[in-house]
Amino acid sequence: MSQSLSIPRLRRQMLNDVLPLLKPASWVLLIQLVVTSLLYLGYNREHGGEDIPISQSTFAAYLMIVGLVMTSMSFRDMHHPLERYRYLMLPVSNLERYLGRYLLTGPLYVIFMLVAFTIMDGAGNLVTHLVLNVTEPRFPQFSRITGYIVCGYLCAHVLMFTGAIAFRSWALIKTALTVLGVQFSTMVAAYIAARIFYPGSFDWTKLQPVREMKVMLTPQFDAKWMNISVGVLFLAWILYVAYRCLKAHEVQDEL
Amino acid sequence: MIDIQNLGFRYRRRGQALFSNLNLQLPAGTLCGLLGANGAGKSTLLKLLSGLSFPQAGRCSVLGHEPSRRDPEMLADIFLLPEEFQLPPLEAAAYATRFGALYPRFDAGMFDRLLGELQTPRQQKLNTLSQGQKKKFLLAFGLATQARLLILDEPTNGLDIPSKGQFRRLLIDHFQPERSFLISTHQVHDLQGLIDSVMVLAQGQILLHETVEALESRLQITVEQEQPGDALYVEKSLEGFKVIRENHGAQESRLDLELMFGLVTTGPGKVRELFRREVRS
Repeated sequence: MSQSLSIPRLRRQMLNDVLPLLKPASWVLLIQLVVTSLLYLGYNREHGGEDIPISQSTFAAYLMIVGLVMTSMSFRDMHHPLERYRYLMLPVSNLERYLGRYLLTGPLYVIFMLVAFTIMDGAGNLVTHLVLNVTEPRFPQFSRITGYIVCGYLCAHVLMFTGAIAFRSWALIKTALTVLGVQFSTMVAAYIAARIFYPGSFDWTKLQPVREMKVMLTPQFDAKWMNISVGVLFLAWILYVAYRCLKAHEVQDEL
Repeated sequence: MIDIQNLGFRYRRRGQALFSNLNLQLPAGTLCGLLGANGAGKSTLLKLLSGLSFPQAGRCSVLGHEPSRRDPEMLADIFLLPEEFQLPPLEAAAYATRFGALYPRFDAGMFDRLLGELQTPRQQKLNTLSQGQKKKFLLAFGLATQARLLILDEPTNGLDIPSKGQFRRLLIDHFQPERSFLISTHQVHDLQGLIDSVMVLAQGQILLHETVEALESRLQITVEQEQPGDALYVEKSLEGFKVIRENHGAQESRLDLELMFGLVTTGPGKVRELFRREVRS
């Protein structure tokens, strides 16, 4: 049996991770079912003309909120002083530990939510039909917008997954602050670079450029596939960093 | 089974190194007691052996594997019973199904038998058991995994008197030539008559690592009414003075672990010299 990846071990590890989630997940789904019905009932149909139908905006909210909170807590046992020995000493490889939780909180969770939300949408529509005698368009699982929502979740998931491994506590808040910090720093760095390299376009009394900046090198990221490739490569690098973090995780306190 | 060479380790938040140039060899088929004062680094050493912490220098090999790599093959052959731990809200059978499945040699029948021997409730949720019952449960699970190296950190803490007896009996019953038990404890009396070798950890070093047989043949322990001047170590007790002397006449003497620990930690040079002389002779 391979030391790094064995499918039966991975399957067992994933099953061990899923079983404790069954009870809380059932409660969350039940609450979501009720909330969806109430949302559909209270939806202002007079307004109309929105870009995204209520089913997709509700799906996006559920997917993001529940998924990111769950992901932020996915390595809680690894950081818990009284539980980490069991998690870290289970006879599975680091890769299996990593893959198991990545798949569960990422792609498999998305598939599960697509199925679960289709049922919730059906139930919400049934309730509105019975009470108000109106129905909303069915949740389009395979539409382009749903695809964007799923991609958006998978990107945010990569960042949160890395945060869950790297931060011992408050992973959700710390990851959000780190992402905001990095974004802000990048913007500030770009602004400072613009002021350094294009001094003629700025005036010392104003923050905004007063004259057009003549960019000497235009970035060749015109093609859409190029932007997507850069994004995917960046996320793959973040995932690799997360794996290295998990591999290097050790007990560094004397508890 | 365990081979540590020139190991160095320090906690990042602590300035001083806990271990520097630590050396240790433990063969298979050993029931070894690891003794040391508070803060000597016993639990840290066990964490290093289990792959929970990583050494910053030197070489550490357990069952032919580097623990920091956390190879599944090695982890299936090591079982750590930590001093403090938490168990999930599961019944014993569910725990065995869930976690035992990852140990290739896990024996469910043996686990059930051991739970019976240790009188651990089977129907109760594990998180509601007392600390002593949790320890007995985990010990039964560890033995049922048939791991070749069992690392026990303060295993008798929280156990009542009958349970301590059961614990000793279990270890003796499950001791095999290819299996080793490494037991770290402050409760030296619980190890008396159980272990076959002793390791004393102090000042970041293994000050002594000898078999009980060798210690008993080299040291003589007596109780005397007057404080002798030629003793290696003397400790006042209710009966008089407990004295350790060099055993010249190969007289039979039973090892007193507490007294021996006192000797090693107060005068490590004396003991080292004694055993060095024996090796030379």
